[in-house]
Amino acid sequence: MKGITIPVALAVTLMAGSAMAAPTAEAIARNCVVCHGPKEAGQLEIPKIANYPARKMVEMLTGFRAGQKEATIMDRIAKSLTDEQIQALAAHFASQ
Amino acid sequence: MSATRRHFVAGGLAATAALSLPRIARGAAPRVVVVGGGFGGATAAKYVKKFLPDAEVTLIERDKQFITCPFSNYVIGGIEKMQTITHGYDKIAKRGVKVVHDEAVAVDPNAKTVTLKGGATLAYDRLVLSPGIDFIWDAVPGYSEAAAEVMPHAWKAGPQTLLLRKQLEAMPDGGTVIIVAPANPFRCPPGPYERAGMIAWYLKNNKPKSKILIFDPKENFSKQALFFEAYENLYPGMIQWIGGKQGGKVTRVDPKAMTVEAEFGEEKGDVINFIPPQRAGKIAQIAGVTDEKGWCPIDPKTMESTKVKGIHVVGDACIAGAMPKSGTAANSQARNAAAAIAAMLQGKEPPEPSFANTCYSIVAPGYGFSVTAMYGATPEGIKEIAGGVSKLKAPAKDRDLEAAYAYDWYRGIIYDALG
Repeated sequence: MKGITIPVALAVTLMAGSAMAAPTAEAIARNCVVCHGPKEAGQLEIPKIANYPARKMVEMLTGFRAGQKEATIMDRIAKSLTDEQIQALAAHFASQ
Repeated sequence: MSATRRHFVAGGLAATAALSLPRIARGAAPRVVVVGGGFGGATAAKYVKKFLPDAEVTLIERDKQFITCPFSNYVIGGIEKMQTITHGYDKIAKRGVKVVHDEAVAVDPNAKTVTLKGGATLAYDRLVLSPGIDFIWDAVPGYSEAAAEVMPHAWKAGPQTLLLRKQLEAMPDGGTVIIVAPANPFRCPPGPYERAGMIAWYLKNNKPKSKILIFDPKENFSKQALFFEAYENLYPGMIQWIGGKQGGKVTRVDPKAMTVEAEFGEEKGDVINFIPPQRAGKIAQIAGVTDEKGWCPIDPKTMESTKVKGIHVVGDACIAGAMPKSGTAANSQARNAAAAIAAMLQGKEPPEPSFANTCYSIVAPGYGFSVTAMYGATPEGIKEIAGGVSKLKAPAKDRDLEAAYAYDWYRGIIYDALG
């Protein structure tokens, strides 16, 4: 868990510093599904995340956030998420 | 508590309580009118209907088809066809959005009505304006709407896209293409530089002795280092950027002589792509939601205009703080506006928004990169939480993957807005 302590603290500081309240997982998730769309969207390369196992998603997002997991774009996006948001997003997508 | 903060918290609720709730409390279906069927407007209409199925949602759009600016550079470069970037409104109509092909010509914020060119007047409880941009035609001497037929802007996709493409096809090998980029803020900040890459792709394969000059009043631009790296890797010596410090600000154009006069001197072009300075689309000015610079200030939590209550502004027309004027930004703002509108129409507190932007640029087939960020609402405006651009010197497989992701992003946003 050491690896993710700093990014979490950073994210919390950024949010607190700019008086930003926390959106719900549903509100955040609506951004995710633009690229990680439902199968009707017809996407070919970007992984689907509906019904994604929660534990694996937490592992992926924390790995991206810490820069420990190889990424093209998700490392930059995951840095915006707090631990709580990662947990909530994982639960949200797992239950779809 | 500052005035901004007070407005931020209470503005929407006050308007809801005073105006919208009584009518809905009487059992009438709430009426939401959306003006403009681009990424912002189509998304807003679709999501209001999704969040509030009983609402009567009307989308006003002049054109029968939506030709997207994203990917129009690939039509110019010859790697995509107009068909790829042309979409209909039939799917959102099937979802219950009433699509009216007409033009909004007047807004009465007191009577809460929108008047259409065709003569109809529509009443609304909440109005969403997503008018995109208008060009300031006379900002540079010599340029005009008529001059755009000679020096196309191709900054609203459609006939202008094809005009620029045809001019490139007609140009002799060894010719000069001039792209005139605008000052900030403008639609699609990486667009002119992606376009240079796409034109270079066409020229390299068809007219390799040609060159591209980019005239720019700015001293830096979106994804600059990535574009310079790509130009060097893919098209060495073909693209020259003349920025603000080098005198790249254009002071006059002559469509007859096909010349561009900049602070550093004059150049003649065989093809001249002049991208004019911009402001919010005309209906925003008519509705009174623009500021002195021609853009629309909004409450970042609800996207409601800070100038006129009951009107929400999304997309390129609004002042969205750290967010760029992009299709993804408009799409994201529209979803959040729709959630706020649904809440306000039910007399509830608008939810906390979550904004995102992703802009891919493809400068050759299989060579893409991106800028992305997540944003949140603060009393001072929309602020970035985290984000960034693709790595420099990334392996070829990453550039290839990001080019493929660009296509998936496109499929996804089309589905989210219109599917």
